[in-house]
Amino acid sequence: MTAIDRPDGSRPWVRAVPAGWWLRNRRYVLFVLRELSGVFIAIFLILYIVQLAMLASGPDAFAGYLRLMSSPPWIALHVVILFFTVLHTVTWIQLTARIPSVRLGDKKLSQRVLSLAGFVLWVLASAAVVSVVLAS
Amino acid sequence: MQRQVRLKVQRYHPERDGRPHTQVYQAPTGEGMMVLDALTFIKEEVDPTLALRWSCRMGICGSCGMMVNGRATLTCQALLARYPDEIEVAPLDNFPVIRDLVVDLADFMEKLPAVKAWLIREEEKPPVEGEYLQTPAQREAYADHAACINCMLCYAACPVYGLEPSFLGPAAIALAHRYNLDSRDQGEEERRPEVGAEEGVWSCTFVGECSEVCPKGVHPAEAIQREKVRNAIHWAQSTLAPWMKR
Repeated sequence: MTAIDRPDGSRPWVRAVPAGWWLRNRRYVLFVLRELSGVFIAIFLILYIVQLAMLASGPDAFAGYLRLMSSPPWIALHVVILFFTVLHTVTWIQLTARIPSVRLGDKKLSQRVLSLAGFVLWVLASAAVVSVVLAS
Repeated sequence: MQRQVRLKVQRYHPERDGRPHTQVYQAPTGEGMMVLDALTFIKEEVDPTLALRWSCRMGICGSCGMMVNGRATLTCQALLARYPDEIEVAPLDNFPVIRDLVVDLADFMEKLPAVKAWLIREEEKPPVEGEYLQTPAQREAYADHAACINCMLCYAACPVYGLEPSFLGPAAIALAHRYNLDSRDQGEEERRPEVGAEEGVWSCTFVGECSEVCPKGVHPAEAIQREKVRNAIHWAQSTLAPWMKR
């Protein structure tokens, strides 16, 4: 943050964005948490790839992996990952519902209706995945 | 007894001050009084050296945008009755401060013409042939984005613009989108080099605060995301099926 001497003789004060800008309001905080959630989802995907590799290595390797994942620190990590995944999904559905301009006849569908449709689709898709897992 | 408010106003005199400082003023409140009224009271009755911009007092000119208690606000629309007894007033974030509450808007003034926010026709017809007609439904298509008053609240609220000043920014893209949606316009391809650039829509991370602070309901965040979709479709079409012209 400094005053800048310009060739035209003016001397404006130029401010840098403070590191804590995202703490100024709830929406900034949610945005940064949503961006941060990408890190935890990436960790989950890496663990998933490792899990597949262990599965391919044989029953002993997979059982060892499952034992490791059953320990409290790994369970705690998965709880954190679940929290960020849900946070990302909820805030993303709420945000993206603002983008499309959908009309039914003369009426424009509200953001509330579109986000509700997003949540219904999310629940249906999750239920479909769970039913496939339970059926196998 | 008439309620008084304490206004903690950020002051900066470029010829005297090394950095801004806060000056505290008292101002009376009354029914229907806005933050701008308190500031003009200070300027007229207490301290004529206070510099601020304002003009219409009715949310049309877009001149009186400031940070009020940390939020980008059009001060002529900010009812004092809705604020606590102590109010912090500062110049708009993300812009150089010329003096006190006056910021330098030169960056936006360069960006606005770059997006060509006006009707572009491939061939202009002579005025004697009349107007370019439009149905109410065609007007409705861009009505949401047509009310921008260039107040710059969206730029002050946008952390991306604060961190990356090369970003074209919310208002400029919303205005470009408004014309891209206009049935009379044929200029989308002329705007694409600016709007579809890295510093255009793709710099936006969809924080969404620009739409929250907009006093006219222009929804810049939504306009930017819609422009991302339009540009992505254009890219896919021109890459995968270049023989198909939109």
